[in-house]
Amino acid sequence: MNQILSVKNLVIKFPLQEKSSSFIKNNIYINAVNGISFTINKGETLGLVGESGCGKTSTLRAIMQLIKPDSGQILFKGDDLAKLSAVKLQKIRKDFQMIFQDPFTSLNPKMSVSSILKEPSIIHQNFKKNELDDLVNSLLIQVGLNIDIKRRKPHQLSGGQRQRVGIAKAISLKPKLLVCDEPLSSLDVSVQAQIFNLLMELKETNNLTILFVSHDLNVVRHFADRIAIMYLGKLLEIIDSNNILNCSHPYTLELLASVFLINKTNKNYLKQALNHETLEDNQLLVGCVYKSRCSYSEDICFKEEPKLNKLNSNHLIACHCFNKIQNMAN
Amino acid sequence: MVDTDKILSIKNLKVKLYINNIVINAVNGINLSINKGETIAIVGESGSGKSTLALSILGLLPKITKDSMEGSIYFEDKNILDYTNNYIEKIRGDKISIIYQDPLTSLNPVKRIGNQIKESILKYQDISKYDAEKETITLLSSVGIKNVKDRVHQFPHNFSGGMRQRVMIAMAISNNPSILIADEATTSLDVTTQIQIVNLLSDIQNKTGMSIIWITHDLSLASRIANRVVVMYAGKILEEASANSLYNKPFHPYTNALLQAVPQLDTKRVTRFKNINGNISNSLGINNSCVYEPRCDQSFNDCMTHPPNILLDDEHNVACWLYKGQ
Repeated sequence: MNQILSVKNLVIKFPLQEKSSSFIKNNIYINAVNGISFTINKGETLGLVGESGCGKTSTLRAIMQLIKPDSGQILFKGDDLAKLSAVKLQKIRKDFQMIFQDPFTSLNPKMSVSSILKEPSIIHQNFKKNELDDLVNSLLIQVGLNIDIKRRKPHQLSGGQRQRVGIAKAISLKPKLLVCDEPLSSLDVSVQAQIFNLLMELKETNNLTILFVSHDLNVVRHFADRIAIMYLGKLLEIIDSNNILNCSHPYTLELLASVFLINKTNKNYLKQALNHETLEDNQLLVGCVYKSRCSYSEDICFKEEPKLNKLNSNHLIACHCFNKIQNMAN
Repeated sequence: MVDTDKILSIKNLKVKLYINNIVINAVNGINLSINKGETIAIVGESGSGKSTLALSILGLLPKITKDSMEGSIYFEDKNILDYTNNYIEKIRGDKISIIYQDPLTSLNPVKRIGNQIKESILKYQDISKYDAEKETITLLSSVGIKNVKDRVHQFPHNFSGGMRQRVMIAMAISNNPSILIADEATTSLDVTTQIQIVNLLSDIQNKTGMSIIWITHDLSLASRIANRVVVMYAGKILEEASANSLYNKPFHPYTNALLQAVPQLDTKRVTRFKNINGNISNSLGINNSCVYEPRCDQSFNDCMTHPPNILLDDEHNVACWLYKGQ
């Protein structure tokens, strides 16, 4: 089967207050992720882009089975992860690994680099004990670190080195799917380029499938094959990244217009400073999630929620007015 | 430029920080001047000394030993480094103010935002509490906060990241400063919020004519907002030029490498970016070589001593031996 991951109608809710008292009967929930569906094919990189609070990280955590989704399915190579028994899930976990955003908090400060890198293999009993040291060495070389580093602890490493250790840990079990949560955003420009190149190299040599979450369109455009735009728990547009400049959803257009380009006036630049706060209780909203910020919105946007429709094989869009927008662009 | 346009001039500033008895030259001999109404961007990676420079302009660094700070920072014909703490307090927040990177940690979480802004107005202006309250409301609505009369009584946690940064801006401009320092002011914000804040600040600048020192690591942002861009590395200025000149014709190998490492939305998709090997900590050594020499791929014999600033034309300065003949 070509699809390695398929997410169907994923819904994740968080209670706004802890149910501490039995008097609270109807707890209020916020829908962090509100029915999203997407698939990733083998060897493909999907970039998930959105502002903070749109549910990107919750989606990743649900895929990693770190939180339980409230409804919907996550199919990994055809298996519904939520229905697997704990033993089976543990076995399949080595096939999907995660790189975290913050290399400062995601490595155990009490463990040396070599024990950090050995731990996954010990848990999954992939290697014999005498092979572990060779494994650590080869991992460190793969991610471009000096072998001497393995005796150090995380606080003795720089940000870029830490991120490399996090990457080495994630690839140590030879996963099929790598889930990256903003792996570049906490790094400096020059280090960002180093880690970008490293991830690209690993992707090519190990034929990895990657789900790449970021808020930086500049990076995603180069890293991902397809880009999914997320807003308030909904997917608004999925588009081929070669085609991103021809997107049609008003939110994607707004994102593109907000990106700064070196020494070029972005021709889409927003003329006036938009002034809006994201409405956060999306549960109460009827219709399109983006309508209150959208400058194209019509009556229908306030009544009916747009479905994610196929424009062509590589372009999906959830908008009532995209015809109007495309006509205006032409 | 005529000399009277200069509002701040920094001469040979050196700041030493002491960590575990090791001396770190966080700022290592910087010459820089800022004109009235100008926006200047200081670009560099983390550890390059940009924030230390900002803090020393505001007199916020502790003077541990006598030689921890050398050089001079002239503001209104007086050297800030000679001031006593009491005197600096009169300037800080009044004539020179700052917006920090993280608006959540720089606002007081247990005070209502209206009171926090009022505090800075009452400290520097001789007006009644009632007038200060009215002034606060005008300030908050001028930075684009809606329903001000209700929101002025709210706490920082009631605001979103972008709105908190607006509150910080309102506080920073409350006394019509002549210099505003924005220390990574939009780094923690979303792109759509970032452009709102950038536009807001340039609107305010057009109205009041203040100078902005914009500290950032984002080269694309700097290219859009600044008149002049200063590239800092390991406590030194490597290149200084007008934004046009710097981005069209970067001279220093470091600037060149940085510009090639920045992903751009509208270029063809690439699978590799040009990267700079090593990182900045290799360069904090005390020897006299050019600070960028350990990572530079064009280094030669001359690079064992740090190059002086070479003036290429009116608008362009570079500290690199490659251009010594010009």
